[in-house]
Amino acid sequence: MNTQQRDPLFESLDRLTGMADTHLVGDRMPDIQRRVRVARQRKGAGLVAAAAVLAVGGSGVWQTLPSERTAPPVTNPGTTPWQQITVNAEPEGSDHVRISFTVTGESTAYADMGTGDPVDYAGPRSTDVLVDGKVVAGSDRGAISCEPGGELTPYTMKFPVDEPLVVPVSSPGEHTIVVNAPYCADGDLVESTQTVVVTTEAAGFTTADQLEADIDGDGTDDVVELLYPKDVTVEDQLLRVIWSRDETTTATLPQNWEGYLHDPVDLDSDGDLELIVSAGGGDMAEGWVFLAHPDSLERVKTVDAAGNELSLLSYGEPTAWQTWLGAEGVHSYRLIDPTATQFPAPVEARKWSLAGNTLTQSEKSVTMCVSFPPHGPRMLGPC
Amino acid sequence: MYEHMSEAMIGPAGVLGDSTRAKADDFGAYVRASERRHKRLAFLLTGDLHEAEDLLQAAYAKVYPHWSKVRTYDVPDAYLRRVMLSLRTSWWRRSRNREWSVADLSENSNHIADPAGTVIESQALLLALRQLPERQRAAVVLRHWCDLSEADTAAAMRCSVGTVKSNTSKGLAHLRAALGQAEGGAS
Repeated sequence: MNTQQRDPLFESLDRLTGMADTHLVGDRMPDIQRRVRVARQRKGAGLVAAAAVLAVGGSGVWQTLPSERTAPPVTNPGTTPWQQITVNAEPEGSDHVRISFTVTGESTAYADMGTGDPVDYAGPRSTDVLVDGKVVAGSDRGAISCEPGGELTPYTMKFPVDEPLVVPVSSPGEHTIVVNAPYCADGDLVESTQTVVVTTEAAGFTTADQLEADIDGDGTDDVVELLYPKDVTVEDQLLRVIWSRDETTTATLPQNWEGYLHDPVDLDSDGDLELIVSAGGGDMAEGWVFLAHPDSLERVKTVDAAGNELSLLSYGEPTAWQTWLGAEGVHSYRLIDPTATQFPAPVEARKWSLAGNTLTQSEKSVTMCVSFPPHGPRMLGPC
Repeated sequence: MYEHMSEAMIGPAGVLGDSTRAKADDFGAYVRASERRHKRLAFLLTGDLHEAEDLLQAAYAKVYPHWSKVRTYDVPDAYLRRVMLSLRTSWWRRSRNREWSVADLSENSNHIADPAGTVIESQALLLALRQLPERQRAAVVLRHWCDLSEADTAAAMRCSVGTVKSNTSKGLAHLRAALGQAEGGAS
């Protein structure tokens, strides 16, 4: 601890931390496990029958991507000229961007460049809007120049003034919107710029489900989204991870039923969380597991003990196999007595184990019990 | 029965969950070994005993699912620190308009013997800490209590070394001024 130990501030801080020792707690693990469990159960456990899956489909919310940014004031309001630009840009469909912005500030006076007479105007000298480097809109106050000195005049101006500014973009993806609005400060024209990046999606997508979890274990939550196409003629759904480092990884789902995200689980105990999606249609539901690599989302193969392809399915009838996804991992189970009416009831269960990119169902069955809490998801556990 | 079944899924017996139980045991040992120092850090970061407790538990709960990976790190504590700072920033953003309460200061300080004016100093320091902006407080605590380098502090705070320097400088000035006043008042 060397130099810091001789620092009186360190000594003071260290004494202060002693207060933390006076607040004793018991075993922390039950509460930690409870918190983890609550987080995981937030979306419910269990790949349930199709009707229940459809019920949680929920209403779509228009895709909202980071699109608004406010620049800090250039100088202090009320004392010197300053200006702040707030830009709002949103994707409109897959191939347009809707832009609006507000310019607020206090500028010094302008003068007519020809006559030198004062001009009754306060605000930016001009405004330019650039999308991906091209000027798409602008305004100019004409032949006026900045007048040295003069009173500060406050202003707030909203753009566009008349009709919405909707700009076509060449392709889906990230687009950079820049607003330039130089203003007068005591005779000088001061550059003032704000930039935002907006992302348009191919075909346009709706966010159907979303959760936050630290997928890659870097200490900061990432965002996982399930996206439906807005165009009903497009069938592909997307699974997307927006990493905390602001990169995005996307995969196409192998189905077009309405699905939802389960809370990610570390199925192979490698420290990274796996993504789990389920969806249902009719009397059947199916689940998929994805490995979230930094640059791709890899769908896990699901096989039986003999290596034959076997889907993670749940069927509606009582004699059929169901799939259960929970904090403990993935299990398939079916009632030992299909006529059982008393729960918890014993079931034949087979655990799935993840190794590499393959999820394998165990060959041997064990007896477990399933219960149906009145206000919660079904539970599978020891009898 | 529901509670029992739910609980059982986290720490089951028999054929299920052997790896989970081992992970829980290992993580539990880490928690027991580290909780005191992390509780102290959480207290300095929050300035409040109850918030510190909540922050620490939330951070442990964030780390637990990743423990099999985090335990292999050279300094697992660095990961937990980063999670605490991340959580703290997130919480602060949600409640940035909330004012600090100082009502519990005297109650807490009753636990400390005060032969040489340390209670007054700690009260002043705690008040000053609470008045610091979040990033200044984090920078000061990480640099001057955790003894992290500027680079490590920047990594923990996810900012540049320059930001660490400026935040530390401003924070220190404020704290030293507060301590100076406390010494003056106590003498």
